Amino acid sequence: MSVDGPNPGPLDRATRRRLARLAADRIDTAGLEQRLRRAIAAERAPVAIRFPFRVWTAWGSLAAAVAVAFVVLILATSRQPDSSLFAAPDELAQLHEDLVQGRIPTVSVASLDEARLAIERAWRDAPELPALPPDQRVTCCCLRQVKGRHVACVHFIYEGTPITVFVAHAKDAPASDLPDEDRLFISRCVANVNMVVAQHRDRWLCFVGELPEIELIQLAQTTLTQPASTTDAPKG
Amino acid sequence: MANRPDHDPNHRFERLVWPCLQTLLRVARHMCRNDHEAEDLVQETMLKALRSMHQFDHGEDAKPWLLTIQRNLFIDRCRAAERRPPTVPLNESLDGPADDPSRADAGRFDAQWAHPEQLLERFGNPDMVAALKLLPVEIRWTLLLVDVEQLDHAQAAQVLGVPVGTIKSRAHRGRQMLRDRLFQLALQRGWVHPLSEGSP
Repeated sequence: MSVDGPNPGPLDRATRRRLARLAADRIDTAGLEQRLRRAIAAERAPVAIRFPFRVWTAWGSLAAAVAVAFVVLILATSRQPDSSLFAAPDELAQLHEDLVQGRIPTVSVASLDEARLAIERAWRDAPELPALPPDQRVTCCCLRQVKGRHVACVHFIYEGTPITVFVAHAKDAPASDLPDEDRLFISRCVANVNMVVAQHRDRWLCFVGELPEIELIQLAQTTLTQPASTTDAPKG
Repeated sequence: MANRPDHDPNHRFERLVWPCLQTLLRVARHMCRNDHEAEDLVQETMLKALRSMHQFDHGEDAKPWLLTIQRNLFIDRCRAAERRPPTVPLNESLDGPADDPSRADAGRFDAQWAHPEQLLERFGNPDMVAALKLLPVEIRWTLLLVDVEQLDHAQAAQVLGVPVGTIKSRAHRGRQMLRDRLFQLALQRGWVHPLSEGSP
């Protein structure tokens, strides 16, 4: 009996070729991917909570305040209505991916100031853009509607990694039972990206990118603690 | 300092494991009774892989590693449900006596496959999948890994925990059995006609 060696017979070769074509059938994995993302987010959640506590310990009272708010916000956001921006992580991750791939129209800009001007021209009462770290390179920006809310998107490269920060008015991501102070929490990992959501003064910010969670938190933290004036942005 | 992407297990999971989702689901659908069961199996596989990323040391190719996890979970599920896989024992040797009559004379129609490429082309993918699902579990696993997913024999042997020689003989025997079932289907559909002499 011949077995499947380097030179299988013609019948076996034909059968192999036919079977190989089964792999070309694309299977719809969208539903499974969603389920998996939720399960993975739940799997990762305890780690995500531990990280900020450890890092912010050295930051003294600010860290404690943020950490408490972080826990409170997780609980609060679990009750957010579906219309809230908090309910749109998949959409935000997709927008980030679209920006990375250049699949949606944007305004090319070379700096945060240019992005600010472009956004303010299109959205008169746009929320203030965050003060990004100095070693970033802003590439483009745009305005989008997410869950029926205006969101400003600024795309930049930080340490070689594409990051998008989405900024909206805090009232569009309601967290009404929270004290009026800085809050930060990790939302989840969606698709290939991590996502950190912050609420700062009257702004809602969401940082999305492939940075490790902790680095994305640090980046978000920087924007919360850095005075807005450091961006020398002209105000309209 | 935080992990860089290449050393971060989460990042490696996204980069190496996530792209294998299609493969895992396709194999699972061929092995499980329904799509729901298949998705559960894949989800369990992916979560186990996520927890075990620190153990992953197979270069850039996560597919054999994932399929090993998936197969082990499949076996666990079969055992947990006290539901034997519908055909043969896991340590089955095809050199031993066969308890499946269709296996005993596998390839009995081979002489009648005058134009194998053309005849195989006439079967749609649902026909091929249905025929695959009628094969014994270990044979099915082998064909899925070697012929559908194009693992090499050594990788398939690793996934199934058997020697390479067993993979080769199973693959050959499995194709014969598959052709037998397809030929019977072709007879029913009138695509071919039995030989007047020596036909089964």
